[in-house]
Amino acid sequence: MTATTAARTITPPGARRNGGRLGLVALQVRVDVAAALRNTSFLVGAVAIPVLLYAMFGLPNGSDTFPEGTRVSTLLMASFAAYGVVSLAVFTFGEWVARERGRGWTRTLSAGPLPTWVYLAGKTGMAVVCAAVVAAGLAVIGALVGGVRLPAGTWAAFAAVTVAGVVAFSTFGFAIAYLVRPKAAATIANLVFLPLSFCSGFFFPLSQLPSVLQDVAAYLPTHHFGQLLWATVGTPGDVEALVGAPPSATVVHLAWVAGWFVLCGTAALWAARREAATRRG
Amino acid sequence: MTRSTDLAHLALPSVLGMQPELRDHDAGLAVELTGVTKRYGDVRAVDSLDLHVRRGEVVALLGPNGAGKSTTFELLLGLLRPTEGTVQVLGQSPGGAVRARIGAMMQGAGLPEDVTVRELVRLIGRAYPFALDVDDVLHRTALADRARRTVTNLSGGERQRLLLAAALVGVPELLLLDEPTAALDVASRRAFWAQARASVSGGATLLFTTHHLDEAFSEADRVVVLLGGRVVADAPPAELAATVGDADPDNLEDAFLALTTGETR
Repeated sequence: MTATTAARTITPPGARRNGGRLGLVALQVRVDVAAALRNTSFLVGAVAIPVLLYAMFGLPNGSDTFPEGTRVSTLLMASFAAYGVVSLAVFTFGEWVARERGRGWTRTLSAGPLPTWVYLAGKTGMAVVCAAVVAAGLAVIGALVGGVRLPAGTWAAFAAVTVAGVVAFSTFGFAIAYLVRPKAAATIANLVFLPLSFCSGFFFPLSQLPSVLQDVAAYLPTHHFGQLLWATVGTPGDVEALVGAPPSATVVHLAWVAGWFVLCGTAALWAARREAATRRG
Repeated sequence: MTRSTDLAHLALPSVLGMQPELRDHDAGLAVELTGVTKRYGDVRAVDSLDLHVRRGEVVALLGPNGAGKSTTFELLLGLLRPTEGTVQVLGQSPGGAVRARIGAMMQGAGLPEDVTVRELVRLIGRAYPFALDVDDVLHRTALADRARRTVTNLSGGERQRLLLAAALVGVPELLLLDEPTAALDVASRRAFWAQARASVSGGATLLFTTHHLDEAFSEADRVVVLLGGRVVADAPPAELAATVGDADPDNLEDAFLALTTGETR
C-alpha cells in the first residue's frame, strides 16, 4: 500500500480557496488590533499613559524654551513618544507574547497551519497601529495645549520615526518573551522598562540628572532612539541642552538601534529554537 | 430539547477530505508509524510502535494514562521527534507543509487572549489552503450564539466545540483529536460525535483518543489499544471485545481491562 503524498488541488464542496499569505497577515493584524481594543489594561498602559504623562510632566513648563528656541513641550513630546515606543515593545511583544506562550498558544500554533511568523507579524502590526495612535495623541495634545508648532514634514517625520521605532524594538520584546519564563515575564518587563526609560532620559531631561546617568545613557539603545526622535523635532543645540551632551551623528544612533534590533532578534530566535528543540526532544 | 441535542440532528456537509481521487479508503495511508520509539531518559513513552491508518478510516487510540497516546499525537503533529523509527503523515514528514492538511485538537490546547470565537475560527481557516464558511461551521458546532464572545469567556464545553470548529474549518484530510470529549456532558458528547462523524464521512481520516470506551466502540472502525507505549491490540471494536477470554463480548470495558491489566470479570 502506498501513501498519498499530494495535497488536494480541487476545491472541496462547500469550501472556498484561500488567497496568499498577505491576506493572512492582514487578518492577523486585524484580529490583534481588535483584541487590543478589548484589553483595557493594555490600552491604558501602552497607549493612554504616555499621553497622560506628557500632559502631566511635559506641558506645565511647556512654554519655556531651550537656548536655540525649541519649546520644552516639543522636545518632551518626543521624549514621551520614545517612552511609548519602548513601552509597546516591552509590553506588546514581551509580556503579551510571553503570556500567550504560557497559555500554550504558541505551542498550539506550532501544530497547525498558522505560521509563527504570521502570529508575530500580527503583533508587530498591532503595535504599529498603537504607536501611530500614541504619536497622534501626543501631537494633538502638544499642538492644542502645548503650543507645539512644527512644519508638516516634521510632523510626518516625527510620526514615521515613532512608528519605525516600534518595529525596531519589536525584537527586544520578543527576546523577553522567549528568554524569560512566561510567569516571570510581567515582572521582568516592568523591571526592565522603568529603569530603561528613566536612564534614557524619557521622564526627565538627562541634563538635570546625575552625570553618571548621562554616562549610562550613552550605552542604551533606547536612549539612542530618543536621540533620533529629539533630533527630528529639535535643533542639535537644544537636544544637547536637554541631554547634557552633544548628540552624536545620526548614523551612530541608527547603528545602536539597528544593532540592538539584530542582537535581540538573534537572541529571540535562539531562545525560540532552543525551546522548540527541547520540546521535540 | 437542549441546544446540544439539536446539534445532533445537524449534519455538517460531508466535505472533509472530499477529494474524488482519494475517496477510496484504500487509496493510501494517512498515518504511518514504523518502529517508532520516543524515549525520555530511561522512560520509553512510545516503544517500537507500529501503527498504520488507512485514508478514510476512523481509528480510536485507547490506553490508560501514560500509555503513549498523546505522545503519539505529538509525534504525528511534528511537536516531538522520534528517538527511533519513522513517522509519515499523509505521505510526508510531520510538521511543515503537511500541517495545512491536518485538523488537530490537542489536550489542553492553548488559545489566545481577547480574541472572539468568530475571529479565531476565521483566522485559523484562513491559514489553510481551503476553508469552510465560518458562520456555517459555528452554527454546526453550536457556537453561533457565542461568535462574539472572547475565548477566555467560554465554558469548558464551548471551548471544546471551538477547538473542534478550528479543527474542521480548514477542510482537513486528517483529523487528530486527542480526548476531544473530555470536558463535555453526555448530550454534548453525542452532538460532538454526530459532527465529527458527519465531517469524516466524505473520506477524511479520523484518529482520536478517548477514555470513554463507549465512544471508541460506537464511533471507530478500528480500536488500537496502547500499553506502555506498545500496541497490545488492534482490531474492530466488536472483534476486540469478542477475543477477550470470558469477558462479555459486548462489553468493551471488560476487553480494555483484560488487555491493559489482565483483569476479567
